[in-house]
Amino acid sequence: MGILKRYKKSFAAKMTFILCLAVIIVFLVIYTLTIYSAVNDLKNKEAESNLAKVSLYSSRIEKTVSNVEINVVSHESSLKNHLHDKADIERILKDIILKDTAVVWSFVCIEPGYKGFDENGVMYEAVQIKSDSIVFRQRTQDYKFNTFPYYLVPTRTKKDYWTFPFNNTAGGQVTSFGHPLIDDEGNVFGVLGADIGLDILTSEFQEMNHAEDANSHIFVVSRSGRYLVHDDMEKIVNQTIYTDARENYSEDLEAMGKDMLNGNDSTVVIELQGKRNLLSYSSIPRLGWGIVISKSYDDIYKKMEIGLALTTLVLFVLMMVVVYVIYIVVRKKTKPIHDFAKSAMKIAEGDFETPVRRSTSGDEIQQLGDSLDNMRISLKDYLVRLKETTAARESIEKELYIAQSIQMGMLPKIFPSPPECCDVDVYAYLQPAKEVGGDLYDFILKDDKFYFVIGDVSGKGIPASLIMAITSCLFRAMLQSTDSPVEVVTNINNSVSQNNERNMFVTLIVGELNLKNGHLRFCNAGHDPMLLLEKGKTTPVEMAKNLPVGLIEQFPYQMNEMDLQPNEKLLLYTDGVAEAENPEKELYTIERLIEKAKFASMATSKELIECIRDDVKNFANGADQSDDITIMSVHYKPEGKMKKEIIFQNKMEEVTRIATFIDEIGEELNLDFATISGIQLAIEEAVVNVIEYAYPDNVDGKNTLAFTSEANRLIFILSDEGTPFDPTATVDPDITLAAEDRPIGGLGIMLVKKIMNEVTYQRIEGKNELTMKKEI
Amino acid sequence: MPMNKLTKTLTLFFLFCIVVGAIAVGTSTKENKFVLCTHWTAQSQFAGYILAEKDGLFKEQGVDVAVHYHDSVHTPIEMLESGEAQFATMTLFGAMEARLQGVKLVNVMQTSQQSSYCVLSQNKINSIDDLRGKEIAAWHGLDNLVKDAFSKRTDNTLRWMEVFSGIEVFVAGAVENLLVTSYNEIKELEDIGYAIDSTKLLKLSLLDLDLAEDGLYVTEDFYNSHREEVQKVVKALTDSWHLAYNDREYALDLVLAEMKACRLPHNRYHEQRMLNEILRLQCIDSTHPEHFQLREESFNRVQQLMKEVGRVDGEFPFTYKQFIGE
Repeated sequence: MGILKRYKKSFAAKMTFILCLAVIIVFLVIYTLTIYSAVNDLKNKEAESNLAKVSLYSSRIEKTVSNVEINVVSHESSLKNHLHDKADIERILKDIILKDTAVVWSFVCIEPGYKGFDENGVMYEAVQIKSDSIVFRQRTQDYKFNTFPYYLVPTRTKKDYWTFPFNNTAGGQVTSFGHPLIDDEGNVFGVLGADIGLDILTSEFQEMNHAEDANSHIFVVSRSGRYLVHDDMEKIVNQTIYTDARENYSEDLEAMGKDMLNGNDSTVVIELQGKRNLLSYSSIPRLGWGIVISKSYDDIYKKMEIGLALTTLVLFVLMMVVVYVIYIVVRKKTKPIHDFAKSAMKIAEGDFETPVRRSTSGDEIQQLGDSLDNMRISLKDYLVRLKETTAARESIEKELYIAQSIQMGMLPKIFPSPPECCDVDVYAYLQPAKEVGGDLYDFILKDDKFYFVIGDVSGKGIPASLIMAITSCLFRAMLQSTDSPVEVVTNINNSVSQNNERNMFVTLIVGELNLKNGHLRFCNAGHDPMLLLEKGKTTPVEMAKNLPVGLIEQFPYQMNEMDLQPNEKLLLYTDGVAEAENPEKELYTIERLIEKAKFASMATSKELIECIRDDVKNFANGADQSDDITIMSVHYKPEGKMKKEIIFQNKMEEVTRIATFIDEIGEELNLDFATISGIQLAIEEAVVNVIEYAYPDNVDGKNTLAFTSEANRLIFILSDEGTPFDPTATVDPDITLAAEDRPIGGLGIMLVKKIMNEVTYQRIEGKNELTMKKEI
Repeated sequence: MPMNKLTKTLTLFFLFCIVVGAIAVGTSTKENKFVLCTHWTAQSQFAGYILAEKDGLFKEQGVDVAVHYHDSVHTPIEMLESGEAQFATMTLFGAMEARLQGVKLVNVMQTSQQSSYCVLSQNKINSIDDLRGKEIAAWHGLDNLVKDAFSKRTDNTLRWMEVFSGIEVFVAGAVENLLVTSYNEIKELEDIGYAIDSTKLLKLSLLDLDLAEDGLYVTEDFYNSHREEVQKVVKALTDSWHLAYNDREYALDLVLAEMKACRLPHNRYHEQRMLNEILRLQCIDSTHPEHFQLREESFNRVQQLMKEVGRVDGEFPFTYKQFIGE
């Protein structure tokens, strides 16, 4: 784990590992190639050596065989001369054995019935029983020598013949040489032959071969493939190279046997019983025999074991030395990098005074050190500058924050709305594009008049915010000295225009709403027209076209006037609304504002402003705000103070007008049908009472029905100049009595009392005044 | 030191008992001890006999049988006649010819139902006519009936030549034609890498000479006097051949050990293929497994050939049933 950790952390360790790996691979390749080359050389040398040996042994076999052949043939003439002399035949046959140590048997066969011989023929043989004992004998007639190959083949082919190896009657393994005996007439009359003891031949070759190489094996096969010589004596006579191959499932061995017995020489690699063997073979064409030297690869490799071990050791030691040298060199070379890393770590921790090791190597390491030191110095300087810049910026940001707070503080945060402040419901929203902005809004409730202003200073940022502050202050200050919006605007203009070297200007709308009667006076100084919202309708308000303030001193501003009906709203805005952009650079547009205002016209001011604010935000969809946005809603809502009055004559047709008057009230106050119907019934009873009974006939009277609404109450005051009469003083009729039993009158006023919650009467300044109050 | 009378008497009594006991045991052993003689040396051809003896199957049946192999001096018939052997293997036609000549043999078991003989030539053999007037080398022990019946098909123009190791003579080119068996010489030729050309090979079965070959024989006298023992021997041999069929490697182990003991050339690969062929020849054909009984049609076929070649004139002197001991 420790080594792994060290490896992961240490560049030197990694470099050492990679270089060592490369060195090891190179060494392994060299080692493999060396071994491969050595093995190939060894195999080739072994093959060459074995081929030379088989060639030599082939000659030896030929010599051995030739000696036997010469030995036999050299006795032919002597035999022919003493064919009928058994003693001479014995001498000849024994001589053949004695002349050649390889010969263990000699024989002569005479054709049956040949010139004075027995009709079954005759066969003499000499057999070497021991090294110094040779037995001579004549075969019995039961032994049919003329059925055996050693006789049949030479006599029939008239050629010398070496038989397949076989077990002779004495139990020895031999191969027979048969030489045909041909008389002067050219007739074959017998065979003179000799047997070579295969045990002798095997011993001779084993001795010879093992003297040169104890690990190689030699075997000789006859033309039949049968083993004549083999280290495994069991195989001699019994096995052929083909049966051996088939028992070992070696097609290669069989192919080699065929190739060899077809007269070819070569070296092949054959796997036998799981071991690879190098086999060099040569044919002995004259005999049709073959000779093979076999050596297992294990034995071949044994030769190079010591060399291999030594090479391995030397290479290993060399490799270890190289690895060690690499380790030392890499460590030394990477030491500065380690120091640089330490220095860099300290610099990263803020220690810019830490020394960076200087190198004079002139290579990349020195460059790295110099770069690191330069970086340290640069970082140090940079941080000093950064500190200063950051401090300055923090200061500016702080000041801007304060400015923003001041500016926002100048805007009214408490919006008047019923019931706390009856008659007007105001709400506004201002979002500067930067920390501080040039938009403004303000309002002041002064007596029964509500003054408001909305403005947009040209430009943005701090300069605009300063003008905005001035304008706001001027608005409030001017209202101290005048009630007229146009005068307010004119005064602001004159104040701002003075010393306005930067030619900054402000668009403004200053308005005055008389809360008593909804009368509105306003002055527009180059601002976008405000919108009038009434019952699902949005209409831009027509305004005089004045210049923005700040441009021309003493500019004659014109004022506009109009009456607001209860529940009508004014929507004021700056151009930041219509010019708000989305990411696709599309504008919000005034049309969209109008549509949205129309949609929310029945809502409260706060709901209306929030609705528009959210719609603008959704439209912008995260795009940067390019201009200040201000929206303000002024909802004229004179609740509880609605006053109406109708003057009517004491004529019955006036009742219809009265009914219409009541309907309008109900409609304006959104009263339900049952309430309006009840009120209408009560008022009509009271009015009819005045029309019919207040005045003498043919006398016209001036009557008034005044209406006032309070928060939860409707007040109707019916006054007439007729005969004093207190209807509330009348006794209510007994409605349990039958109509004919009840006195006339009283039923109408009772109905009024029943419908209205409170009915009072007073005679004031020569007028009857009936006050009827209805709780709603 | 002189012995007293009682001691002498007791000693004589014990000696008497020992001698009588030994004679009794000897007589008993001799009565159940038989010799089975094969008609050639030890090899896979006789795997069943070797197995029965070496694996104790004879003893399991309560008979003591010693297997003796052909010694090239005495023929199996001579062995039976002389009483040196009680059982002998030989070919069907050899046995029938012997019986024809007066040696009353009984076939107690038939271990070959098909002919193994073929003629191999140095030249192509398109028909039997290609062999007319030709010399054919054959194993010196080949039955004359086969030679005569074969010759008859060439109008007796064939010349027969006896050889001991036919394949060597043939391969050396000393003979043009060689009579071979499918289980021995053919395999030997393969052993020495000789590629056999089927166009130079003629099976005798194609010449209406598909004769059953090896069988086990006893003399009629022995058969009549030892029926029970004969049955036991046949049972033991039937079992041993089945064992050889089912465990060929084990059978080969015993055969090779026997060949080695007899100082014979031995080659497992050769013996393995010989055993396979011998076991194949025991079957009538591929659909009829070996049953070790001489079929009447095999007997009749040989009988007919004997008449063809003039061995018998008129009525055949023995019947199939007599020949198989019924």
